[in-house]
Amino acid sequence: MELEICGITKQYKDKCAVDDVSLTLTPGVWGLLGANGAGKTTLMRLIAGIMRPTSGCIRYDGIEIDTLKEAYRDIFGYLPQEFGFYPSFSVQDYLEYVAALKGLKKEASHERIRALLERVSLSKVRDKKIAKLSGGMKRRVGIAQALLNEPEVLVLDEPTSGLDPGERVKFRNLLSEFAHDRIVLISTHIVSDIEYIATCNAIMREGKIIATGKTEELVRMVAGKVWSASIDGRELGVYEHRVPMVNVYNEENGDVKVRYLAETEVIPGSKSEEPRMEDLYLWLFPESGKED
Amino acid sequence: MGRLIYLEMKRVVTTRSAWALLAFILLMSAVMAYFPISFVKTFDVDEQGNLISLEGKEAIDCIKEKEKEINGEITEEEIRQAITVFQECYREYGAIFPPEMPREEYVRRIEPVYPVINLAASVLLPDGENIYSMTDADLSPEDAPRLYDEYQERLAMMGKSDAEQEMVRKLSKDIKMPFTYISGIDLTSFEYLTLYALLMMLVFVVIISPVFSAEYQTGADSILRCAKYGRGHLAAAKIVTALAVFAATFLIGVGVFLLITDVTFGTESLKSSVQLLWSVFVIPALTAGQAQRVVAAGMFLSILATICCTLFLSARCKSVQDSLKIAVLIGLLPTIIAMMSSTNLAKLIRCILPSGGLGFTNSFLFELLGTDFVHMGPMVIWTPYLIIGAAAVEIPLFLVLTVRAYCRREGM
Repeated sequence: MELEICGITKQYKDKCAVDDVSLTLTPGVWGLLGANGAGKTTLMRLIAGIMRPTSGCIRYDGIEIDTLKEAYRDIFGYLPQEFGFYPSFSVQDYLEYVAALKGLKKEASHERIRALLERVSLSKVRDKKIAKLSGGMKRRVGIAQALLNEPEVLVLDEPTSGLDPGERVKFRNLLSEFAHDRIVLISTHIVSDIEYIATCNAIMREGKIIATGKTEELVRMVAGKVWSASIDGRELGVYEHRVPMVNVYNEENGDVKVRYLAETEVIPGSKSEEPRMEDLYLWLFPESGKED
Repeated sequence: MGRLIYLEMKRVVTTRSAWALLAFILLMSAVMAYFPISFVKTFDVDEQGNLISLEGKEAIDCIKEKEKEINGEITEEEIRQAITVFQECYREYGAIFPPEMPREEYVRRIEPVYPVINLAASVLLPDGENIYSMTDADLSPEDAPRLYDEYQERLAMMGKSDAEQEMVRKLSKDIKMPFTYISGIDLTSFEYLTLYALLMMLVFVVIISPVFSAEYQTGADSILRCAKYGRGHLAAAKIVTALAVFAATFLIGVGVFLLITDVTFGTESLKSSVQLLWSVFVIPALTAGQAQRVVAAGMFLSILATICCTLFLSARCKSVQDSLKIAVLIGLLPTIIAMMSSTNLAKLIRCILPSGGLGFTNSFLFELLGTDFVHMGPMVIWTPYLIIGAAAVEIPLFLVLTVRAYCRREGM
């Protein structure tokens, strides 16, 4: 099983949202990282087939998805970043509606919906109108609909936004179980989600894939560039202008413990740290860590 | 597909706004049917000889009682008698309408034969004269035998060109003579039926506009269009549901309207020749009942064409507001054009628009009872034919375009 993105470009009037991207997705969880406007959502919509590329193509097991049409959508699940529900529908009604669209038989869909609602902890609100649910619950309804047809290719755009930490952990476990022999692509700003479950990552900047690889491979890009130090609180302003700060922690004695990125030690007495995905993210997208 | 349609139907009927609008339009059928009944007014003379004013159902029953003697075919003898009554009254009072003629006398003598006097005046009077201006010298009982011959001659002269005259000849060749008159039905009720159709069209434009565009606006379509049956099948299910809801609403709404008016005015009166109820120079050979069915069918097609156009706009526009605004404009455009111009081009445009048979002064009813033609090169087309023909082409065309627009739409 393989999803091949071949030299895909999406050009808008004045902006190239996805620029000649080539990537081969194999079974496992793939994390798609990038700052806002990097082109992640556009790439996901191209993979979902709801947007046509300006050039290039996407192949599933060697056949273009435009040729596969219904057969591709039959093995595909998608959770967009933002999406609407029918306000008059209850959770159960909505999932039944999507199940019918996904070609599930009535009896099979009832059983599947019951099991999924259990998994995403929505059983108690199955008869509640979606419009009356909290943001996190709506997100979980979105996750449930994406999993209804047990897709071989699952694309989730910001799936954990709005979920509380407990829900995020449950979601990660659910996804890890689900991802056996399936291709799962997740885009998120919550780097820890990817760090825990992604077997591979792709990093996007300005419409291009600038790096791909396993988490441990990618973080090696910032090996030796992550430092921690303890400084006087009054010095913080000075260093903030010189280096990207990953973390700032106020200690009880008035000192500040900082974690920062730099080619070489900037703050005297700094200690070299093991790099993490968050460090890599900030290294690649320093503008995302700066205050306006 | 059946399950998809069932679920889509469930979605539509559980939407509060759709429910409210459907309930409103069904309620309006009874209200709109009540108006033409309530507007019927007449006078009668009671047993003491006093003039009494009657309205609504009482007035309808009174008129039917007054006119019962002329029910049936309007024969030469009945025409002769009616003209005799007219001459006697005119010579006695110098006019046949109040106030010159005492109202009690008008009610007693003129009203029972008024439809026949009106027929004779319409056919036999020279140009420039009418029932209000004629004198006893203009109409004589001796004219009665030539009424239907004269009618046919005048009919043959209708139309501004040879092609129009040929079209009139074809359309009117089956008009049954002598005419039949059975007191009761008032064509004002048909006018209210067309107003009801206009209202129904506007309600359905509001209900249909969001069918696709609301999903684009909220982003709900991103999920649906990624599903196996989320494109052509879903578009088809939405279309079938929209059309089924419309068809059911139309049948119930118009059915209730006609049931109320026909029962109140009298179903027997639907056998009257439409020429005696509107204008003697109405060219199609129809009874009131047949005209009612043709008008209902014409309105159904026009609303259906407008709905199909709205579905297409909904599939094309990215917001509900855009699709609604354009659909309402298209829905009302024939009325606007009819108010602004009556040139051949204006007539052509308003008739070929999806809502060509709906409007205030340009409804399918008025086209059916009128004598308007559109010239397209050497062709002459009677406007009701153009309205029906255009709708018959537009309905499948817009449906195909709707499915295509939805399936090919690219999300933002």
